[in-house]
Amino acid sequence: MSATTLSSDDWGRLLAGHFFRPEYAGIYVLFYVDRPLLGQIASCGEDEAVKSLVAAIVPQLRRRDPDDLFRPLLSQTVSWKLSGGDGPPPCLAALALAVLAASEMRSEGGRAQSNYHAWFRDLIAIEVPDVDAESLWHAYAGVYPALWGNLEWWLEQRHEGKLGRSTIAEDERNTKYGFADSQTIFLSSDREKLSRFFSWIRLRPGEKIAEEELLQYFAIWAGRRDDLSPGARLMLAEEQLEQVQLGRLIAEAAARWEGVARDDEGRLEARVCLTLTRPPSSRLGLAAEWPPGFPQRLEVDYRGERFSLEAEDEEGQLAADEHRWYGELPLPVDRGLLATGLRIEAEGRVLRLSPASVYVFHMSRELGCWAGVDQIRPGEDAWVLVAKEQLAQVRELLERRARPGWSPIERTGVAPPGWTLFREVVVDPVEVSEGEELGRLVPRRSNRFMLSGGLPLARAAGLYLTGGDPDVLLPPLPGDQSAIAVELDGETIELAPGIGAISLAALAPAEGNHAIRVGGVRKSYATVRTLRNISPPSELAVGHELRLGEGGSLWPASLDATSAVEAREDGVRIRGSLVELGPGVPFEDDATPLILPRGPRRRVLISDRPGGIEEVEVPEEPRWMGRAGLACQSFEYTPGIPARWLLVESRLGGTWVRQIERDRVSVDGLGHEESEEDRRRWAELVLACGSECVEPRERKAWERLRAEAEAIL
Amino acid sequence: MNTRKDLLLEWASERGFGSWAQFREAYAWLERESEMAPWETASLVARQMSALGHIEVDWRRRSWAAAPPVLTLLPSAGAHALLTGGRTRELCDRLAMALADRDDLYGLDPVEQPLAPSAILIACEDERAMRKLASALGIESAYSVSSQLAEILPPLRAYLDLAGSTPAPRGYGVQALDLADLSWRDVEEDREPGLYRYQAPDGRRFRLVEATGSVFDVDLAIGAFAALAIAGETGRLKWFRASLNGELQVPLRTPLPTLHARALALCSGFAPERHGRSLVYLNVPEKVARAVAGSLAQDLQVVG
Repeated sequence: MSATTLSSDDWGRLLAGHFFRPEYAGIYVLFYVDRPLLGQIASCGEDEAVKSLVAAIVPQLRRRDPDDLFRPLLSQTVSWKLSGGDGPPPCLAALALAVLAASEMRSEGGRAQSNYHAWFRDLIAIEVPDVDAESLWHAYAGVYPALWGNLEWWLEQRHEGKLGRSTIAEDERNTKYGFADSQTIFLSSDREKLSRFFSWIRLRPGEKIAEEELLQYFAIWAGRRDDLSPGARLMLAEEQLEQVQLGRLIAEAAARWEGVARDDEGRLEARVCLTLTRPPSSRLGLAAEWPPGFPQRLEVDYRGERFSLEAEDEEGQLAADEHRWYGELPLPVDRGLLATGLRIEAEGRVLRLSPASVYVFHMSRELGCWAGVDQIRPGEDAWVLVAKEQLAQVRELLERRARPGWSPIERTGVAPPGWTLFREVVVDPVEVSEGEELGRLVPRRSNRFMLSGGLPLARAAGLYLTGGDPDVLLPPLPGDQSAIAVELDGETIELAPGIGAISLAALAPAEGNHAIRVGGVRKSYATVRTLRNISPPSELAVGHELRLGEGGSLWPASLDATSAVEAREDGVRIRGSLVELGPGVPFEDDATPLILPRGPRRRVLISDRPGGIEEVEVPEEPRWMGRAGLACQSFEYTPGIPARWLLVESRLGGTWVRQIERDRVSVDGLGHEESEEDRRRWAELVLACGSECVEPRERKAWERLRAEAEAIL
Repeated sequence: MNTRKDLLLEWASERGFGSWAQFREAYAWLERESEMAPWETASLVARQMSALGHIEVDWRRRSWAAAPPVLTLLPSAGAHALLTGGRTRELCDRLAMALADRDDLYGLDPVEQPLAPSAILIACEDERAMRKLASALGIESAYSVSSQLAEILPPLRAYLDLAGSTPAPRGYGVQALDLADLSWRDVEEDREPGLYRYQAPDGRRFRLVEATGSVFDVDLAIGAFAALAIAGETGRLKWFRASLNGELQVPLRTPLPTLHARALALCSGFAPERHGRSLVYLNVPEKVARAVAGSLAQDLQVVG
């Protein structure tokens, strides 16, 4: 079919076939029409295609009534809708013309509403040279918003988003051309790159981020790329209004994102990662992700080699950071593959391993081996595969940044020639950049403004212990800026050049609520000095349990501490230093040694029974206490008699007697028979101490002892 | 008290419980600007805090909880009471107030430790004073937790009887314990008798292989002492007699099971000191040392 003979319905089918397809199910679609695209889908030159489109529309217009020029289009569309909305909307070609005017205007950099008016009139004038500008605009305003509404209905209601979802948005100020303009913010290639932007900010599917925050990150991300369309850049640089529109579009796309990347042509892309399987037979391999939109079995024809990849359909919901995988790719990992990466097209989809000179591996629970990651994770054990040309820089970086303990693998046969494998690499978070090539070895949690670390309390989100205020992770600077404005509670924080993180704890903010603003994004947190509990909250009782076994011995219930440990009648529960014996456990030893002072010249223990006396010598001072800076002023002593009284002679000559708490003293040597000599010494000692040596409340008992002593002597 | 380990304990106590990932992140954040040796890890500090009775860690389920606070007297240590367990800021405030009001108790300056929270010790006139203080604070007290624990330590075999034999994680790497110097060596096979260490995403796993081919899913402490016992290496614990009690030396690379370590650490209130290739526990009574060694199928080597 020649472009010159295309009818409005033909154009509708071509346009719908290009923009609204089952593979875009659930994805926001921009109906972006420009000259190259028209030429592409009509298989002719751009100018010819534009002329064809206008020529196809004009016969449907009510030329005799310029103020109602587009009314027939609306009538046809309403009829189409009432009859069920089968096939593309009959107004699709006319809507394409409206978007074409907006894209022509945008490509020229004109932004005013009157300009759009002129661009649209010029297109109609190709076939209707005498069209009156004012009438045209009146006619446009009376019909086009309703036409856009019908396209939105068709996508969202009639097809329930299964051919793609609507991004049609009315611009509050530019109501007449805003619908068309909303489709020209991005080229379709810009849209495809959003998935990479979401990956860059580590957006998790389902995660909610405010529009204005997303827009800020997008501006930073876009500033680091040179492959976005001029329109997208213009939107970022220009009016606030367009930023709102862009923010809404990105937010909507973010809300729908399932974590799947797309290539520049909009094809779904799955990540291929290097794997490292360790003993037995340590070796490198390849594994491909099985993201949504990929078949369970994927037939691959790669450089003449045919194989199929199959994924196990495991049940259960994946966590946000979990992935499903195909089986191993039957391709050798050699130096060529490492240097150039891998790109496999299969069944309209793409499998991709990006080339790198530094590959980082972490343990993957999903793959059951070490798996390549985009960036090293802080504090986690990693292996690193390094190309020869980066070896010196990586060694130098590891010496500076990695914890000691890493080493190169000496054994040959694991890393391909020209590559070196490092083991046990652990790098703590550092908020500095290391350049593109080594960037993978610098742990960075995110490219967003985040509150990170600190000492968070469980009671409420965003609540921290004072002194444990979180750090502020700053996003990378936009390309054209040398600093970013940061405020804590309204006060500007001065930042050193190149700084990537701020320690709020070092600023020691007072207990209470705090607000931190980075650029235009605000986050808040609160600190509390104490939750006013004497004992820690005990919702989770972790501890040890011993159970009474045969013969009265105690046996462990687990190898080590376990959660939710219970107190049992026939067992012992241990939580820290709290040993809780069940009533059924025959274990009791409340008796304890005496604690006696080191300072006095003499200490004598006296029992109530005549003859029971024991001189106590001071033991050697424990040396470890001195080393620990502790003074040793008393000592423990287990008496050999049932001691009831302690007699002390101080170095200054005074003597005092104190009663000993009877039931809690352990005794070593019960059953000792006192001699007559013992009884005489006991009586002399008791009588030597008058009542004045004893506390008033203990004098009566002491006097009874003295009476007994008198009787003996 | 203002060391980073003190802040870690305060946070753990105020929070009460959490996942291992949360503990590790808190530790990493606190130590983010520290120059640390490779062995100064979150798990080492957690083990020290656990040995001192501050926290309990469920390594299998990867969770932790702060322990109830307890005052306990140290054995033969001049009537010094130790504050162990969780240490909320509210408790510390009230302790300071209580000590200010009494003349039979004297709170010492906290003694800082490199790998554990500061030791909080209180010089007491006698045990009754300590118990009254605990009662006033609303916390528990015990005469000597170390002696209490030493008396109930189960034998090594009892732990092995509990150990299942689930398959070891594969694909990440496996090493075997060389009993000569207690170091780990990469191996390709794991069938010979001994203790094996497997790397895994959620932490290392250990398997003990007996000569009969029986495999036990153990932790490092139980596995290492069982491997030593199987090999007849029963003289690895040394007790150096000192003035009143003694010092117990254990190999650095074979950490003790939690309760054993706690029985020893609570003899002094201090985490064990690192001396070369050994860890040394202070102020350990011979009775406690013998109980620990006996429980681990070791013959205590008495020196001096």
